[in-house]
Amino acid sequence: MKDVRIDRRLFLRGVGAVAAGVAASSLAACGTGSSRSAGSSGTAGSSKTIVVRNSGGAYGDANQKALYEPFSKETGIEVKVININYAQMLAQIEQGRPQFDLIDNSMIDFVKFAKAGATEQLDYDRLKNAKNAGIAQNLLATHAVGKNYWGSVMAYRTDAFGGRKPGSWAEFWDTKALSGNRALQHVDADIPELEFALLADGVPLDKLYPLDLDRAFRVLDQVKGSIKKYWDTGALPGVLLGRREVDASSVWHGRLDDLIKQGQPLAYQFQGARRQSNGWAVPKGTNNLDAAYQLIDFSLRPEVQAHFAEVYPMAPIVPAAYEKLSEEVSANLLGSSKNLATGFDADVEWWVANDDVVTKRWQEWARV
Amino acid sequence: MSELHVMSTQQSPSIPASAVTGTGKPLSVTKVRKTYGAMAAVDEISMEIGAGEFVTFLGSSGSGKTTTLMMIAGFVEPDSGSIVVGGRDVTRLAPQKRGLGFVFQQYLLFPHMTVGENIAFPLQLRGVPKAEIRRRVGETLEIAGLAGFARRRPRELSGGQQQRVALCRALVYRPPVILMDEPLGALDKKLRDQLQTEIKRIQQELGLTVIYVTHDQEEALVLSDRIAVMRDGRIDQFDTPRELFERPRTPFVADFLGAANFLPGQVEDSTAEHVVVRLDTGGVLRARAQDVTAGTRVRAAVQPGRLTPVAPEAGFCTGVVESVTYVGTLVRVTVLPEGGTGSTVVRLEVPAGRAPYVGDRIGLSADPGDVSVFAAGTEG
Amino acid sequence: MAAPVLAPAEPAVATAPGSGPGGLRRRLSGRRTRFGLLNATPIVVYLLVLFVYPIFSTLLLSVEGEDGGFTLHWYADALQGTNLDILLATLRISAETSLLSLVIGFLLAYWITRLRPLWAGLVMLVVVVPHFISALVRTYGWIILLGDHGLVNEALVGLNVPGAPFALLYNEIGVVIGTTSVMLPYTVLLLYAVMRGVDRGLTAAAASMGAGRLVTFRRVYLPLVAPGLVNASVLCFILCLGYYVTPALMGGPKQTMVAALIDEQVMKDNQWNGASALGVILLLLTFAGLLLLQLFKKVGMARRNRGAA
Repeated sequence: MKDVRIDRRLFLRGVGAVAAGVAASSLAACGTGSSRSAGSSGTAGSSKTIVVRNSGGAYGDANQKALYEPFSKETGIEVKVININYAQMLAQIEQGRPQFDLIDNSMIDFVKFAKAGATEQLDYDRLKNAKNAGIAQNLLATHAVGKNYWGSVMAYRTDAFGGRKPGSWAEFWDTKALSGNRALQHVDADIPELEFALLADGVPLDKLYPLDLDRAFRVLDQVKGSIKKYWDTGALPGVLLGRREVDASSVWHGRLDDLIKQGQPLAYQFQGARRQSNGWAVPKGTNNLDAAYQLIDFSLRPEVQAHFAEVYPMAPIVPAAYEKLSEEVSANLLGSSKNLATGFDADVEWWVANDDVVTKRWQEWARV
Repeated sequence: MSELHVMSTQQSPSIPASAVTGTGKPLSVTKVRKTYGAMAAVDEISMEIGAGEFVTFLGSSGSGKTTTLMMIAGFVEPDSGSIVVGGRDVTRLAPQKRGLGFVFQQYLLFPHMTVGENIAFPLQLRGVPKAEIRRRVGETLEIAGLAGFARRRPRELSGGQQQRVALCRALVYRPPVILMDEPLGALDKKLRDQLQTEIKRIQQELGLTVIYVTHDQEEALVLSDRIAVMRDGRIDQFDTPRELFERPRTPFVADFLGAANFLPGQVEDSTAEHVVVRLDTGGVLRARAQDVTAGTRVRAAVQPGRLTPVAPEAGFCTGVVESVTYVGTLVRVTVLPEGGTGSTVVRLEVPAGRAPYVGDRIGLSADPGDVSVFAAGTEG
Repeated sequence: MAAPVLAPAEPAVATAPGSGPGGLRRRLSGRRTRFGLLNATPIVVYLLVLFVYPIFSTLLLSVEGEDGGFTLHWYADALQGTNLDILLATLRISAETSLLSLVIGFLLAYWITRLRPLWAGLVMLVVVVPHFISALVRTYGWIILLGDHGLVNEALVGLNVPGAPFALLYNEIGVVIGTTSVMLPYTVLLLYAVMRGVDRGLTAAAASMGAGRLVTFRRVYLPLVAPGLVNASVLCFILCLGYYVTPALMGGPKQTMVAALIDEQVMKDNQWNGASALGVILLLLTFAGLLLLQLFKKVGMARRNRGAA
């Protein structure tokens, strides 16, 4: 009878997470989280261990492989992992004794952390790989720095619509010309996709924020009759598209990679993609600052960024990383220069300020 | 009581008129056979039962008596043969279409209905008007000595009372034949005796035709007009209790009904009056006339109650009293006959006042009319 | 006329010893009783900590205004607008589910009682196994079965059924199909237990008196399994009230259940007072269901005992 709580962290577990892998990694994580050795919280600089919080799952595994292991090898600093949620982190920081030295989380949560005064202001002088590297300005925040792009894109069946490809959200909305069922994301999964509605209505990419709520919901009304399902788990769009329940849907980028590899007639449309990012922040109260900065800086090296993208379908935020990746791989990443131009960054500040109001309105809109 | 025989004219078409109106006997069974695997549970049994007759199938378990009853009721389908009720062939009909009555050992009253509702149930099925139902339920309960019990629940009644309700329920619609499957089997001895008397009384009062199954010889003897003694799927003998008792046709019948003494010997003479047998113990025993030739090895059967103690050497055999057991007003005596193998004892039953003592040397005598002889090798 | 074999049984009157005035005090003062109460302490503490306290604090939260004072406006909120729609949808879906699972559960349980033990066990397994399958796999299964291009619709289209394919998913039909499949083990197990208790001989007895199958079913079998039917449907209804995985998986936003609303209010809106009010309402509805069950039983008992004295 107990329900599976579906939230945006589930997304971060990534594509094709094998149950056993998830279980194993989260077990390991629990172990380190609950029994942190005294040595790891020793005096600043001299510590040989750093504790990182991440969301675990396949994402955690990818970090272990593409980031923590090479880092330990190079610096001799051991990386331990802990999986706890936002509220637990905040509680530990407020008590002054965080069990972790570095947080890997979504930038949207870091806005909330900063507002709560829970994270340190970053000293960009200690992050040489972030300087003049061409990283988008919104990912170089005062209290957090970006790490990898992820986001929502359009996906469709290539065998639907008589061979026509929906090239924009406007065409996604045009259920007369491209008739067929649609799916959009449920508010339970992540911030609702109001931007897509505004883009469909002709709002330019750079004029989206602050969102015009009345207009967005009015435009959503137009497509409502064709929405078969508001998906609430990251795997569902793939299932719905694969079973021809819908012909086009929004989807978390990366979630269809396996199906496409298996030969399913599915494709992404990067036009109008909404980018978000994971990032780093340092909790107040840690005495392991040096190691934390070392790991952040290491993660921003172009070759490390590129390697991570090969392991996990999240995109580098460092432009130089794309030079180390093939044209083909780059074309399928949200942060490549071409895809950067046709998509937009979710305004996390705006969303944190308006999430409650929009969520409530979305719920009421959907239920009528 | 005679009003009970008046049937309502409103009969449900699927259920035959329950009064005996058809031509011929209430029930005739012809060469009915039922096998389970290679075993014949019932092997070509035939019988005719007359109106108002109380017939008992008597046998031990596995004799085929219950299977035969279930085939008559319709719960078991025979492999071959035919069953005719009141002139109507019902061999392949479902139980509910045969119009018979059935009393089960486990009572099987409907627990969610009152006693009255239970008895009214078969009448309601037949579309009998409400007032008529009420009257007949009342009458039937009264006959069974259950007046005033109509509104009780079955679980509030004792086992004996429940079985009487079940009896009421089976006879209230006056089926041509009422089948009873060891109806008293779940009751204790005293209650069983009381109910036997009542069942017999009701059967006689109402002129019911009853087929009754039991493994209890005494019960069969008390109740029945005729008894079919069954063994291995066949009927050994189908006769009145008197005939069975006095003229058993097989050693099995003799043994099953009366736990007879079997005394081995050889026929010396066979006349129109009687058969003279030289027993292996030495004495001479006269039996009633039978179709045996002199010189035949036989076993002479005599019921314990038909033996009389006499002076030593005065009877057909002499022996020493081994045990004396009082059973009410009767005394069971065992005697070890002289000249025997030492392992066979003779059992007799005598009135309490005439009991010998253990260790007494006595003679045994029997009326020739009470002695049957069976050729040796006859089964049983 | 022979007298009854046994005198009519006296109806048993429950007269517990020491139930007279002063009896309670006397009983409590007994040494054994005091010892007994001591033994009961752990369970009392357990109940207080795990049941009484949470329920009590939920009650308090539900009447606590933003300023900390007493208010009923959380209840007013819960009983109007979309919240009321959700409440009504919850009741409707629960009712539809209990009805459907009662019908299917009855047929299944009846079938199982007629199977040999081995087969009965297998069928039971098939009924219960979906419980152990992850929500995602189950979703996928339902889509394969009930989707526009699923087995059911493909078959219906193949048979040229007019109107096919039907929308069997992401609407109320989908939800009721899904919740029924989840509730089925409960109804089947409950009904099976009751049906096992019905003496097969009773139907034979009815047949011996001339009752056909339909009459036997209606007049004998159904009344005997009726208590099980009432239990199963009320239990099913109560379980459904607090259920929301399947509605979320197989329904649309219009099939939102109260439990989902509570989850939303707590997890997303951080609105504990409103959620508490909804929780209390759900609890009251559950109690109402149980009360209804008692009522049914009382009515049944009264009917049964009518004129028995």
